[in-house]
Amino acid sequence: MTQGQTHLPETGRADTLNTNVVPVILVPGVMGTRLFMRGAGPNWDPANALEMLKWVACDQRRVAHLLDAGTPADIAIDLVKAAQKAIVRREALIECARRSLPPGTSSTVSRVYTDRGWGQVVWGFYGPVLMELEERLNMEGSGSMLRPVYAVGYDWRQSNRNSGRHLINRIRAILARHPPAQRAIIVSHSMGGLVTRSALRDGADQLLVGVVHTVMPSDGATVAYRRFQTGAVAAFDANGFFDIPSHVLRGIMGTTRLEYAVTQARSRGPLELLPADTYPEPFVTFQDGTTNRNVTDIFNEYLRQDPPGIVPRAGEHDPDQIIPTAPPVGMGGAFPGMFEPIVIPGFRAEQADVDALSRSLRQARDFLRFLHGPAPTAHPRTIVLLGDEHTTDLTFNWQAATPNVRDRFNAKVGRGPRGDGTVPAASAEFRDAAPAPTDRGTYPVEHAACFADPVFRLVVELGVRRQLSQVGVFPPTAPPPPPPPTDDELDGGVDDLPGGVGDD
Amino acid sequence: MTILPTPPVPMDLYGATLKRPAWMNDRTWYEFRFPTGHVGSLAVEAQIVPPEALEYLVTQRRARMLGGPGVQSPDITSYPGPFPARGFSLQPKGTAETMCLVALATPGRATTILSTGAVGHDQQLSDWLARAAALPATCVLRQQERPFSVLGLSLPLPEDAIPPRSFQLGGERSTLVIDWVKPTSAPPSVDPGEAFSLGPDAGVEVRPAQHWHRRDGSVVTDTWTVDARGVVDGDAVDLFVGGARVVREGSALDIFAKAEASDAPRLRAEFTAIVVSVLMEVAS
Repeated sequence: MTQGQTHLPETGRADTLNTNVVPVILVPGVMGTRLFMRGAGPNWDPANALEMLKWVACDQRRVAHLLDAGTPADIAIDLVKAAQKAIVRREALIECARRSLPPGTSSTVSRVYTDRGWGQVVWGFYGPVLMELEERLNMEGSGSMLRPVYAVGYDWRQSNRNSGRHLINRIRAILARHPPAQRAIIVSHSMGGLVTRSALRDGADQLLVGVVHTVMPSDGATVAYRRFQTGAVAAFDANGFFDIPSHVLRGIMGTTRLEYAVTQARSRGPLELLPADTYPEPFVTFQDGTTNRNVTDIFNEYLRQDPPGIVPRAGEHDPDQIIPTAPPVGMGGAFPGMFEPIVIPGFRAEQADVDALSRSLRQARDFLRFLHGPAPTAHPRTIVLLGDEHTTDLTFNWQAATPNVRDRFNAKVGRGPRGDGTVPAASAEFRDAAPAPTDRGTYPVEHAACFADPVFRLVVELGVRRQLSQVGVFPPTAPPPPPPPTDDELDGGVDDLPGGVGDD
Repeated sequence: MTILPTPPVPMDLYGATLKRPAWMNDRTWYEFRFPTGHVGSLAVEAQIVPPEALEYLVTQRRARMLGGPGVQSPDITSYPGPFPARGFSLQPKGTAETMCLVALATPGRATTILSTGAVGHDQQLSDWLARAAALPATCVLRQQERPFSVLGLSLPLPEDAIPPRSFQLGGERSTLVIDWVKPTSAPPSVDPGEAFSLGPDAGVEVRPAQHWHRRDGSVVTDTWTVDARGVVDGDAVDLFVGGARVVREGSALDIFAKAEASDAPRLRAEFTAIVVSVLMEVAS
């Protein structure tokens, strides 16, 4: 028996008739779900360094195939070893698992949390918030399991519309496991917010008490546009993501404009992170001085092959590599023409890539119009938590340096500390939410490390508690006091959550 | 000299002019397990690479895997064997395993092998590569025989190595899964006598059909292959004849193809794979 298979005895303590049961569901961001690629190549498993290195060892053609939404993949289920070890070390989680068992049944701790979907998501990043929510929301009071914490992974290569429908099915299945629970609460991270909002537009609002969005690129992110011009390069993309080192991430996405375009061409969800028509501020300045705020269809601009577009031309290629060959000693000049340099062609975009990217962009436009369509665009009880004060791609100016030429990106790309390092605060604020968010808080957290911050995790917990208290299903028990914050940690901390728990 | 990817053009395939299967331009990904528990991966990349360019390609790949300057870079070494082979091994932080990346200039293409295992595993890989041998370019997996060959590279796996249960061929428009565990007895849908003008000495033997299916399940295909003895251009040759019945949207389409074969059972099996792959490609 491994540590993760700690056996739980049969119990009759599960409160399956308690109407206060409200599952809490974490919806991860892009790349946050582990995918098994069914033998088409290495699996997407950020916790597995060797597996991720295999991605970099592949060339960009294979990466493009693996990121193709049409390439079959399965969502991983089993807990990684690190998760098993972490869970069985925490007595509270073992107790929570025991409480969650239906009367007359037995299981193992590992099985309980596997069934909760905790193995589906990148453990190194989401594990701490899952564990803390589970412990802190359930270890008070009656001994009943009132707020089982789930994770719902999804194939992030698919359109967020598809992922939203998958989420609806999962919410229904989760509620069915906890009768007579009627509604759940969602905590979304990053692109998981778009998945959640898509689900809401497809009818999930009746299934939810409320939503807590964290670092959501509500209207897109400038970085998604910038990488189509520069590739993923160290100058701008120096941060890793989840457990993935930055150079590995760059190697996977492609370090040139063409490599990046081809790897992303058939991937649907990530393209839906491009700034939408609703982007609330000027993020791109065109050669004539107008901006995205002056056009009604920004995707028309993306679809161009010349600047400011992002679609390559068929046959366009990166510079060829010339490898000189030297004749054997003493044979120089004896065989003219025999020792010509070897030319290895640079990475090349094919017509199929152009067609695929154009098609994917149009589909992304359709999705974003669906997402940002007529009100309501948000759940009536929405809390928005965003990161700030990290250097973030904010603007792209085609007038700078050589106008309308893809060069000197240091001059064209505008960066500043007004975002979480990935998503500009202007987008994460979810300004066009209708109805407006009930709460909105800004914290100095980094996009792909926000849950590593204990203060931010506490804020998320407070957000969940606030959703519960607003509909009267949560006992008015004050949470344990937070650890003493430092200036660095808590600049704009829990007090910035308007109407927080302390107000109730 | 300019090196270009293999063009997807029709080719003369063993006596029959057939559309070149897309999978011959594809890079199939294999995973296998050494008896010691080590997991290996093998990627076939359809890039024609002369030995002189091998070092450059490996260097480029190493740079991508290791990131920026300042990172200690493993040396690129040569591996013994019948093919020019260059590679390196590294151990990512926080792991107890090494990864070896080796690129081989096999006939017609570069083959990249990624192998992961315990520290020191590269020695095993080196021994393994030293015994690699060239086979005619084809793509086949045999459950009952060792070694299995991959697009011209024969890998002498240990007797108790575990090959993939299913063998996959990825094309531009389709992915095939060959499940060798599920033979079926689908009858021939085309009389081979109608497919070829066999000479008077021809003998025909219908072999049990292999079962193939598309992984997306959208098309149901039964294929069959036939051993035949025939005459081509006045010479008696062994032939392989293959047929397929493709059912799509309620209608059936019968397809067949032929290929010359050798007497050697090993080559027969490989030709069978080619024939059926061609059929599936045409059917797509």
